[in-house]
Amino acid sequence: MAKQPSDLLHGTLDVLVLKSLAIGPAHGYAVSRWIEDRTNGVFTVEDAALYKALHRLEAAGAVDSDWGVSESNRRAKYYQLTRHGRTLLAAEADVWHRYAAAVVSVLKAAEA
Amino acid sequence: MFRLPEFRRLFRFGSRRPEAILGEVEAEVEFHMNMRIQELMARGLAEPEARAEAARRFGDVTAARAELIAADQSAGRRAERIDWLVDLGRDLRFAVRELRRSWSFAAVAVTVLGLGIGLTTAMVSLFDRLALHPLPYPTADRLAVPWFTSGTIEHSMRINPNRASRIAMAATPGIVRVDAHQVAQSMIDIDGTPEIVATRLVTVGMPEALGARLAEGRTFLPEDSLAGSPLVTVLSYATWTRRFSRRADVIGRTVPIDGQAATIVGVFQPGFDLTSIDRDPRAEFWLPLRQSLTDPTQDQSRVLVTLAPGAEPATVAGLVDARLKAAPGSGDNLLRSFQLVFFSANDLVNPSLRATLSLLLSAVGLILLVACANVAALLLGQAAGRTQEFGVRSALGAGRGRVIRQLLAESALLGGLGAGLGVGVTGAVLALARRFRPPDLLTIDDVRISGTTFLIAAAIALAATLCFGLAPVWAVSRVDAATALVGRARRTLDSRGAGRLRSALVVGQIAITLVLLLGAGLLVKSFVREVTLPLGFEAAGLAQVSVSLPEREFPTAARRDQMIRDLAERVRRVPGVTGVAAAQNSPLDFGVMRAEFLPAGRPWPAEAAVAFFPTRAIGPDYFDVVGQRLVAGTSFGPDSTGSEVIIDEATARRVFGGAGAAVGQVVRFGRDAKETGSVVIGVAANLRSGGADFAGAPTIYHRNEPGDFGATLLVRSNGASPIRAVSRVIRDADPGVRIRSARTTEAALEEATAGQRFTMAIVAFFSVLSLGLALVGLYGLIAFAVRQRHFEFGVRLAVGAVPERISALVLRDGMRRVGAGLVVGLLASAGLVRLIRSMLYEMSPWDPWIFGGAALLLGVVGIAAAWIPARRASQVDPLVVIRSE
Repeated sequence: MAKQPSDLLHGTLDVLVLKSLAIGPAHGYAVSRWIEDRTNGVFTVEDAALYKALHRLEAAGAVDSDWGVSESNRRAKYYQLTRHGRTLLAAEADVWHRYAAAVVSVLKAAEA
Repeated sequence: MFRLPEFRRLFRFGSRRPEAILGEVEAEVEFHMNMRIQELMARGLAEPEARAEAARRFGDVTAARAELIAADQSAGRRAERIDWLVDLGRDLRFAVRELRRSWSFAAVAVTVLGLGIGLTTAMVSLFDRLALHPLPYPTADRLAVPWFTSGTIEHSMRINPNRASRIAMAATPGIVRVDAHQVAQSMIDIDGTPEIVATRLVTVGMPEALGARLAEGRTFLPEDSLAGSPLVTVLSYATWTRRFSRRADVIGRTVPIDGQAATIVGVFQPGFDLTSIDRDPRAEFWLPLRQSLTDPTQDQSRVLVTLAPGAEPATVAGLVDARLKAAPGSGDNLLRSFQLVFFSANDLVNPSLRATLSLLLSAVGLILLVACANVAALLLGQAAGRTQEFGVRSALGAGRGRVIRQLLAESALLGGLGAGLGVGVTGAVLALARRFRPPDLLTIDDVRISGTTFLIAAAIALAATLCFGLAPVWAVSRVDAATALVGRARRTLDSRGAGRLRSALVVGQIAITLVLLLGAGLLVKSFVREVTLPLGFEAAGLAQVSVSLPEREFPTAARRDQMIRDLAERVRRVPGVTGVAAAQNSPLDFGVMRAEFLPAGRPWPAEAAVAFFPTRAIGPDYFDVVGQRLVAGTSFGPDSTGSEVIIDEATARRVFGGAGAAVGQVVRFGRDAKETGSVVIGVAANLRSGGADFAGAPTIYHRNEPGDFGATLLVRSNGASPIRAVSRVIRDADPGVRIRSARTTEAALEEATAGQRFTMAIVAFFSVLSLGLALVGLYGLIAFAVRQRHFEFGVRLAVGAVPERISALVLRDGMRRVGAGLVVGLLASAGLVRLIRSMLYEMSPWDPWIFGGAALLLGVVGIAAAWIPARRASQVDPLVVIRSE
């Protein structure tokens, strides 16, 4: 995996985490698996970074957490989007779409 | 699967400690590792490889842990803030429900608080404006009024600065401006109805210097003061409103003022006047002073000095005085024996008004205290009735802090509602004060509720809320859940300190009410005494017209004397007028003489000292016209000289043993050899007026000097008021004569007592209010105590107690508190006596009748308040009560 600029990584990771929780409450491991599956392994996240992102988002009020029981009957910490998290996700996703579109159009122009 | 918020809240135990956070982070990481290892092993890795791979994928665990803990701690703080807000909202919602359930209690509490807060706010606003900031000028703190005085006492003679001193002041460093102003009564003629109105003449530039703002037009320009320039006038805002309906086209119109056409050039904004300084009527029309300060005719003007910032009035006055005495040719006697003193303009504002306001402020502060005590007792009683509820709640896990918060929320809600009502009450009180203001309290019109006032109300509400909110908290925190649950707490609560606290609150209320009742009683008695004592003369049918003869128009004494005689003659011919006399003052007023009173031919009492006593300078016919009886001797004739005096009956009796014996005696007014003495030619009946300051001092009547610069014409008439006709006759006699005031003596009398009546009415209102509050408080206390002791009374009745004995028990309980309140109140009344002494007319504040009456009234009200619960106690049904416990 190529190293990425950390601020870009932060932003990217936050959006991905928020998106993963938009489906429903999940524990950290499930979020990690979801991101790996969805990006077909292209985007392998270091687990420490993932947990930092989750806790950072919680401190910012974008997600909420509490202890529950996992599908394997173990105590696990579950995360869930707050209302603030949902608006944040929408805004960040929008930024990403525009960013990606801009990059794509630049690349296409360069090809032509 | 689950809904987080409820889940989370149920299992949160206060704020999370660092160890707890560390444990959670460890558990979370461990769970993740286990899941990852399982996943890797399921893909075929052996356990040691899987473990290593999982650790590799996780990254730096130690660094991550520290970061996760830090993030969790800030998340925890945030969550606590949110919880606090949610709880607050819940507490308030609950409080609203609680108050609606016991709405009569809430209504009483809010009303009591609202009255207390509102009255206090209104009085604070009034006090702030009328006593602390009486002058609405930006430079008010630097304004001084210079006078020549002969002594330091307030009643000593004050003389306007003369020409030399005006010139000296204008040249003294530390003085920024020297202004002059004069009041006058002028005849105006709008739409053919002549009328006398108050006018004021000021130096050009003075309004601007005092910060006057204009609603329309301009103020005076330098050329307006030049002799021969067309006369211009600026209207007061009230006049513009009342006489010209605030029309803008009034600018440029002309109004005849004293027969001269004056062009209106501007309108002042409200708030600009000099009334607070000299208490003369508010001017309707403002005119420019035509003479410069160096003109000798300006000696009649009052002077207002603006000091430089930081200049000390006494120092500057000393400078001027020194400069004056050093100047060559200042051989003026005045300057030798008198001293120029600067009186701070703020201090000149009616000192008796300040005393009145302090009294009212104290009264209203006491009302607020009573209100708070009342609500505290109410809340305490309410809380005692709810101990079972609180017991249940703490058994279910509500902490003591939680319960206290709930109670504080209820107090805060009551306080907030009370403050809201208080703002309304403030507005109503200020409107009433404006409506019923005494005529000399003109500045009341400028008092408005301001933002500051609202803040004051809010601060008082908060303080009151905390003060009464603490009472139930204190009581409840002493009850443990188990006691409360078994239902015994109600009695436990009462037998402990809470009962004593409530009792103390009621005792305090009664004490304060006694002080207020005493104040009201003393003021009313003093007032009644004053108005029912015979005046000593006949006020009905008497009018007093004060005129001044400016030196410019009437330069010689002979000319002035002739003018006064001429005016008296002309007025005497007005239809309805039966008699006219000229005097220096009206019978309600007097001059003040500083002298000794020494009867010749008798040993002079060793303790005789120089004192101030009232003097009246009168002309022939004075006693006949004002209707004052001459007890012995004769009055002044047309040829009387200054060496004859008439004294009052009381002094004649005290000094000479009788009215008849006094006639022919000689009195001297000092031990100076030059003082030859005056012959007593008559003794006049005592006059009531004179005021408390001169009680017991001799009143001296002497012949008014021919050639005074003015006089008061006393006019006796039958039928309608002759004021208008008399004013017209005077105006027609000579346009140079200025009418300073013209009114009936009864109107003047009314005005003189208006301030007293106002004070009295307010204090009486406060004491009735306080009496009502104390009644409610005492009733609440006794009724509550009876409810607490239902069981006991039931048992007593069941074993054969006589119902009357039960009633007597309760009554005695109530009377004990009333008695304690009366004792405390009597002790506290020493403070009241000090405040009120100077407002009483010739009576001691320790009046046994008032003290006895107030105590009796409170006692009767106390019995009435205890009577209903006492009756209820005797009617307890033993069966019902014993079964219910």
